[in-house]
Amino acid sequence: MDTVCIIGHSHGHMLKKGLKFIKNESFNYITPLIGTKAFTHPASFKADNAILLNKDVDSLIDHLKKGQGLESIHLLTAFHGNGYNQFYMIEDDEPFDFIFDDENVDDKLRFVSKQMVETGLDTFLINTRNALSILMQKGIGSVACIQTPPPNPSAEFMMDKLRIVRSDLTGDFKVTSSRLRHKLWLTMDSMYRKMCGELGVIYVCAPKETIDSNGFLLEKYWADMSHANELYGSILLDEHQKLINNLD
Amino acid sequence: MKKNIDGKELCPYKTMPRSQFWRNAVFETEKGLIDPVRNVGFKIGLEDKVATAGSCFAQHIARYLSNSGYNYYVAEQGPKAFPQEIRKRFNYGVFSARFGNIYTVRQLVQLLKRAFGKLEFSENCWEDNGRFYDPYRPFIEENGFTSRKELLADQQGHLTNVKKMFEELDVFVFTLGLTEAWISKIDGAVFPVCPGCGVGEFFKDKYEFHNFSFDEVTADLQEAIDFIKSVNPTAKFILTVSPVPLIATATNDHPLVATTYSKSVLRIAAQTIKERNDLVDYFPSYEIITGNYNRGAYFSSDLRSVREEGVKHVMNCFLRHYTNATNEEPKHASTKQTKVNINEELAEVICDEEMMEKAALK
Repeated sequence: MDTVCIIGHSHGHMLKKGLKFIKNESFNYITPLIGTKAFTHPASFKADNAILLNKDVDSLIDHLKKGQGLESIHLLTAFHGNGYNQFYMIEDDEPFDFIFDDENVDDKLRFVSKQMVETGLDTFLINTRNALSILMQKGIGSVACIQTPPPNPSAEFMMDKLRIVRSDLTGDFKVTSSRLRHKLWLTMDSMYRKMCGELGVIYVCAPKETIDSNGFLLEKYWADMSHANELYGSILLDEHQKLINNLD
Repeated sequence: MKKNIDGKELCPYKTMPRSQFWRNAVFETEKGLIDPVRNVGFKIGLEDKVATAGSCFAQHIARYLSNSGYNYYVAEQGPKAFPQEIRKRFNYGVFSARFGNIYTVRQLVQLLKRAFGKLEFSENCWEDNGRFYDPYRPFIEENGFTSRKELLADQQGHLTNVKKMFEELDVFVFTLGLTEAWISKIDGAVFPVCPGCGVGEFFKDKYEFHNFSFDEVTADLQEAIDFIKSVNPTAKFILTVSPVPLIATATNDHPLVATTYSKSVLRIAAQTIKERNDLVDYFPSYEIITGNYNRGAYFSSDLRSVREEGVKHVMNCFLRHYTNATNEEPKHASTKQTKVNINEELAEVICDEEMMEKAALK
């Protein structure tokens, strides 16, 4: 039986919790803790493998080799992914806008180019790219990367969750408009797609049934301001299974 | 008039201070102490908004001003969400607005008119290999814009900021760079670089070379100053001439001859405009860098780029005379600065002109 190894940061937690809903027993799932210790964030999410440096990749490979051949292991990764929110979840006093997919921009906001936005977001992708690039050279059966869950449309919900982490966030703080967050997410998504395509990494997209007509995460899958819940995680696991079953 | 004991009038030079004589002012003065600035027309206050524009050399002035503690005015800031190094990479803060290098005075005039809605050109976008470039600041966006729509949106925001800059600045420091330019045969639009050098495409039936005359430069400079005063009556001006020689000339002259023509025209135009207008000063960056007293020490090995030591000399004089600054060096430029980081700083001065050379050498 092939093994699926789930590894990554905070988004990996929904996958791990989603395992309890998995009925198909054609894969053996493992969730090793490599890198720094797991921790629980006050806003409720957990993050494992909080850092994945080169030495951590080596530790992971050593760990996997102890079990079975690497070619029968399918790595399901969830490294980083919150870049678009880390970048601009709270609006500052100089909100900006940019063109994504030829749509119109808000003339009242400071205009920046998509290239500049991508450059800003790329700082959050560098470590993921490095880690995946090294992993792809190790002879693992397959390496997959999950798409970051679509953004949460509710500024109110996000603010409530944020205040759990930062009680000093008063009325002056404002969650960035859902419109801009969605564009940032789409931009980051296109960068992830490109990166995965170039590296030969499987990209596991958010299932259609989890997304509303405007492209946001449906409420029943919300966990906190940036993460999805275990139900979403289980659907993503199903998606991943379908993709690796279709591999040659 | 002073007279000698015989009642004859004295030769005027006999009563002049020693500092008016080359021997004393230049030959007998240590290189680093040469200070050719006399009688500035005004001082820059800590709160005064100082905007800069011009050729590559103006970037040095901008860099020192922004580190001097004075109010270096950047009307077109990049959003704070982006780290400083990314904003700089996309040319935010390199000048007071994101206009790139303005080499000719005609470029300045057309920028003013475009910003205030008084002028439009037929050409507003160059497409090159699926990317889109602003003809009036072709290297402002690394690798160009992703679409014409994006370019035009950025251009519109840029011109709005340029308008704001001219309306709000207190002091405008403009560095005159070149007289040579490439112009649209269709409507006279002047480009900062020759189309096809780096980006765009050259068509001989569409573009022509023009070397501005003294009369043209002077008229353009007066027009620019009058325009700025009309929207900002209290604005003060400091004109400088870039000491950086031409990287190439499109005339049939030797680059030395072409450079001398260009710099002479700009220098005399600046002087003429200073003498004609109140609150317009000329600052001798050109003389400090090119003066033979330094025996070429302020130029790098290519005999063209200005070394940091020269820039520092210029800016020490600038800050000494125009400000009450006690710390005349940039906050980050200590005497312990290594060669490596000085080179990095110099490399950061972006010169569109170099695109012409690169294109030619391809």
